[in-house]
Amino acid sequence: MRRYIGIAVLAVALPLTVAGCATIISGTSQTISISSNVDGAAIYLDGVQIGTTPFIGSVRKGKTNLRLEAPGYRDETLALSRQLEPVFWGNIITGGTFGSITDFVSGAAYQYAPASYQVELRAVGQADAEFLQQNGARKFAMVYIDQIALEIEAGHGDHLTALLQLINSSEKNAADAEAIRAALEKSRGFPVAFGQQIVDLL
Amino acid sequence: MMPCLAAPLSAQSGGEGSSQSVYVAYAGPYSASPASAFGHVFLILANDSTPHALWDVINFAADTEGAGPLGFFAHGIAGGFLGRFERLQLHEKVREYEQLDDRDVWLTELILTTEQREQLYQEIESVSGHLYPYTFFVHNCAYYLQLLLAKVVDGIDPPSGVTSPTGVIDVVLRSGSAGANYLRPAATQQLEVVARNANAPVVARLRSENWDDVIADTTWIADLSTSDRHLVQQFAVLQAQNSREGLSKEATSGLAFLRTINAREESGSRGNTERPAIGVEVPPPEFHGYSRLSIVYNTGEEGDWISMKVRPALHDEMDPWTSHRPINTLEFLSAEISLRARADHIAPRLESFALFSQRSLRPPTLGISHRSWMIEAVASRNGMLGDGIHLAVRTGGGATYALGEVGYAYGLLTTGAVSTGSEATLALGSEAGILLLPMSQWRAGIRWAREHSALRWSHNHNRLQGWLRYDLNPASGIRTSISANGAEIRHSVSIDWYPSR
Repeated sequence: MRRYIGIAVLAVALPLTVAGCATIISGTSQTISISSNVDGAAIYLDGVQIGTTPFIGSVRKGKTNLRLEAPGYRDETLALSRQLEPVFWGNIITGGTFGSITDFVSGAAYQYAPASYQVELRAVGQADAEFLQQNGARKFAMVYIDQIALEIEAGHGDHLTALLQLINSSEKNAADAEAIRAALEKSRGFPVAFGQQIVDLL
Repeated sequence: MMPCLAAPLSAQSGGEGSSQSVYVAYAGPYSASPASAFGHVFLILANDSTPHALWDVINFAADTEGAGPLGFFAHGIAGGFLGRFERLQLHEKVREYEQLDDRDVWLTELILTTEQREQLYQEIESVSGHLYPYTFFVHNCAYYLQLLLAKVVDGIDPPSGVTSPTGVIDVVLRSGSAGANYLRPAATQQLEVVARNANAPVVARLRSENWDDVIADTTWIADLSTSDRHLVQQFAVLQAQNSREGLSKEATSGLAFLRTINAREESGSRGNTERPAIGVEVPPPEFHGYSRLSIVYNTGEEGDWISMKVRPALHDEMDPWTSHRPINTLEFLSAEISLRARADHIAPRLESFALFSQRSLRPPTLGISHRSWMIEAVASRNGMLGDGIHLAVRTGGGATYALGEVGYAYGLLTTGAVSTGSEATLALGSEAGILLLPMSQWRAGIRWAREHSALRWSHNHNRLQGWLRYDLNPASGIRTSISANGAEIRHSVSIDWYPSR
């Protein structure tokens, strides 16, 4: 009986060992970039400061919680969940990510591009509505910059219209597609800069 | 966590003349995840005063954070997870399903009166913030969504028993309140359509070269036509979204260049304020039921016999969905029991049993290179260890290639463990097959598998099967097959029923 169990375990463990070797070869760290609406915000990993925004550096793969702090702003946490390579050996064994990864676009800390994270820090005393609009417009602009760029060329599109609605939700704003185009031009097509240009339109 | 300051739903319904529709959305099966193999269903609240991207989505999902693979499986089957309704915006779901998961999304319009829509808002508000028990097959997204709709629409009954996402779509279609149906193709399918209008050398370069290098070649990009640049940008977005590492510095600059150069052009009908369609309008989808019962007539060297196959949970490549070509097979708790003549009596005998078996076969596309893989825990008769029931756990990987418009060829290398109870061995094997899956009622395929004992190479086994299937309607079909399992050759004809249809 033990021999049979041993063979079965070996049959399952062998591919995992191979996968593990691949992990060792590719490394256990990953280079990520972290940006924020506040330059110079301190970034802490497990209580140890690793840098300030804008940050490009190496963090270990796996579940990682980062905390951003800046004077005059509320702290914000960025959770980096592990994303396993899908399914060469089947999710049910490797226990990786089942289904979707909605954390890309939820909340004030989000991933807008591969290994690139934006954290919106809220100023102490900042009104909820103002913060939500600022965060919403910036996030939408950064995540969907490519769709917006293509729709600017056409002069219309769902993402372009949505961004304008997010910007113009305050009656004092009256941006149009040309303003978005100018913002994209000024940002030279880089998401972080484009997001800031959009916030400046608010 | 974002502060929950979203306006009450009734305030977002728009003014006079705004649409009263909601859409029941079905995100097609995701072959890379057993948990999503049956798809997902959620609700979209249409609003004429906002662009589609900002429409509200009502989604029921479970919190599975921290669960390991065995815990996920155990809790999903037996319970232990809690789920809740969440409110998102449509762009988040589009990004998640169409872009990141590469899944088709089907929308079925549910036409409501003003009173029904207000009642729906109240029901949504009443469940907001509450936690509910979640299981894979009974108390899942489909169950809770159908429960919600049943409180509002007279033609929709509350769910009972196993509830599936496509079951909810089916219930909506039969409710008398269904409107139009739309398809939003997966991102790679959209990209293939764009590629048809692009120049062949551009497409060839995207298919053959490292995409990071291609995007970094701004000199080449600057000389492209407008339509070719669009293709390259959409291709780059898809590649970037599905890459685990960040873009190289050169590719980042190349993508930024693409964005600005495309935005500088002026084309199309500027000032066109016509709202784009929510999707491609299609006929109402018809889905197979997930459970299947087959009566099989077999002939072989041992004579003739009848067998019965029961498959309580199945999703296979033989579903004739419009424009959808799933080549993902999934079996869970399926069994074949034969009634064979024995001397002077008829005796039942277990022929095969699948605790779990999944094959995900996807050819590479312009946007994403998919891997092909399989995993199974099965019992079957006659293997490399002789006659009798063989218990096997196998896993493997390989590749799949498209053969024209309707064919696929695949190959897998497998490893596993095989046991008859008195003997066990490690097994190394290979599997290959050809599938013909036209968008019609016909299906055909051939599959060959060879396995060797890693401990005694001379112990080996071959299985070869060819089959042809015809769907009479979504609820029944006929299948004929010839199989050679070692030395045993078997012909069979079966009639299949989907009891849930």
